[in-house]
Amino acid sequence: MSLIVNNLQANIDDSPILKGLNLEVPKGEVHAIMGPNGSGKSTLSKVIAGHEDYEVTGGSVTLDGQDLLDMEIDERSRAGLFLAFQYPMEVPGVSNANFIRAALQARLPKGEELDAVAYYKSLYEKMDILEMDRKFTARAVNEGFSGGEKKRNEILQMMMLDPTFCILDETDSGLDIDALKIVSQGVNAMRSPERGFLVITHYQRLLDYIKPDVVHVLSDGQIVRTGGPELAHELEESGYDFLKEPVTA
Amino acid sequence: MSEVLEDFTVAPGAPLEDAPEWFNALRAQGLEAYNAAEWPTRKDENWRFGKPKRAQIAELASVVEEDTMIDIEPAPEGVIRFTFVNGFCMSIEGDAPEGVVALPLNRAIHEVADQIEGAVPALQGKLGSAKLAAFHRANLEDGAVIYIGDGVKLEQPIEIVNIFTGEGRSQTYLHLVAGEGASASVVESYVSANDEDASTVLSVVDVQAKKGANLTYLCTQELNEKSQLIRLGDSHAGEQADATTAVLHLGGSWVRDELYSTVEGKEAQCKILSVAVPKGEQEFDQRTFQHHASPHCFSDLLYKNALYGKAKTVFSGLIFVDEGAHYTDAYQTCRNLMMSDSSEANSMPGLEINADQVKCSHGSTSAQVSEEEIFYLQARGIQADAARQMIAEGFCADVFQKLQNEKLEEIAIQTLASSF
Repeated sequence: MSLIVNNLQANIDDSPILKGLNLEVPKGEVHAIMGPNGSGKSTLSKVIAGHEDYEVTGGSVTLDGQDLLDMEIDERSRAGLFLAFQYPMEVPGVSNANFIRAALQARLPKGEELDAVAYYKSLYEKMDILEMDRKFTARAVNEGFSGGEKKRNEILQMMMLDPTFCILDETDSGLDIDALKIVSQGVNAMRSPERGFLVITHYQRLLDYIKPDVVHVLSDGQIVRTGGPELAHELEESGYDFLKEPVTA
Repeated sequence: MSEVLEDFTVAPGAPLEDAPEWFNALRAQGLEAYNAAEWPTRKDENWRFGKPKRAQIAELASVVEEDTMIDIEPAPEGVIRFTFVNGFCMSIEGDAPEGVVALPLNRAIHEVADQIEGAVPALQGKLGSAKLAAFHRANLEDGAVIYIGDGVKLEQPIEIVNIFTGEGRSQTYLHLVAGEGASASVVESYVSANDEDASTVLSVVDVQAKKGANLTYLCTQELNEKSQLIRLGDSHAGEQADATTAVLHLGGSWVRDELYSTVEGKEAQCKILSVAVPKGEQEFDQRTFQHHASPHCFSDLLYKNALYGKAKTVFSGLIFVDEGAHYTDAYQTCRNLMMSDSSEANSMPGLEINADQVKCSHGSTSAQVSEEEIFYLQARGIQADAARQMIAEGFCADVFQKLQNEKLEEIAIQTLASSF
């Protein structure tokens, strides 16, 4: 039971970005994907989530055996997938509380209403962990939020929706060190044997706080190296220059 | 005049029994002005893209009063609420506190005659509907008269409920004045008693905030889809006054809404807000005029339309800065959210500046819901259609935050929710 990406190929505007990507993240593990700009990191997250700008030309993605590529975007979410956005969207006029509530309501069978009291209790508990002021419930989703507030809000949604598999797309970008610690706390609180994580990042810094079990290096649409947490440190010191050298057998 | 007009309880312009002379003179003058004025045509700049033929409502018989059981909850403790049926006051609930006048027009002309003589109605229909304004004057009989005395601060909004029933034409009238340093809010609603009757409603709304007053007015319009409405509004903010007028149009097959707002006196400010959600073949035609008559005044207009089906909107707005009205701060924005390919939004923003040191901006946009926004909501498990609706509702609801009045915002957002 895990997220399995098999020989995934995807294009944007007819140009190939993912070129036969293979990845397996078992439940209970945290895998990091690192790589230089343009290597396809964000594309991978968006293709898994189902963004329509990307055309999947081959391969498969399964979550606990379910074929994700065959599902609508919202079905993937309800099937247990969560994507924390690199650039969370602002939704003017929709309060944060109503937004998360609608997302939870969408998971209930028709005719069943979310228990409002229990909902707010749970929401406030999670906001406390993320050190978010209560006023964020009434504010429009992400509107006028600072970079750090937006990322905390992503993690809040993740905690509320209780997914089985989480992808964090460059969650560390735009975060100062204090926000990074709080966001990481939220993520670490959710680590469990029943849940997998794919942490996409450009920098090793995030991985000091969210310790990965496995680190992959993505380059030109493929995983080119896989190793333990020490691989992230190695990349931090020597950079991605090794990618330019010809691969020798 | 056509012979249908004989059906009226009182003929247009004819004197009302027991009414003071000045009031009957006003009615007579209204008829005279009505006869002298021309019906608007499409060549009229104020009716470009509009439907002037639909404005010719004088030929329609006025609605015959019916015994209609109107079942509404009593007003909560401490709330002043007028209830009108076809423009005639049926009840006023709640007691007006000291310094506040809340009376139907037919009592106000006797009981507070000195306050309203010469003040009723100031409105001339300057945005293309002079003939209709005159017709309204000629038929003036009842309405809501509200005076908030100098320095009086009301916490609870005053409510005006307008119910329409039966086929034909009726008219409503609101004369609302906040005295010096007063603070109040008023919420007016338009509803049909049933889904079948085609009502034609001609409304005149006159809102004035005197020196230092703070006045917020919200109108929610939920007529049935067979009805039509012409609403002529005038708002005036005096020195250091803050007048906010907002409207939410949901119902009606055709709605024409004109608002002439004036800021006059140092540091006068007004906010002008509108949300419309036309669907099917509904057509909403809105014209505005922001008149800066003095220096150092502020006005901010925000109109948003979410258009579904084959709906059509027209927005035409002008910011007009008088000679000498220096240091004017004026904004005008119309945003259209196109929820279908066959809807049509026409926007005609405009500026005329005759002063110096002026900060003005105007603009209009038409766009569809962004795919990225839908993706975000879908990625949280919300289905595409629901996501689209939620974004459109938020787009509209956003306007009402500018009311800066929690109770009115709540009413507006609750009413809006019925449309999504």
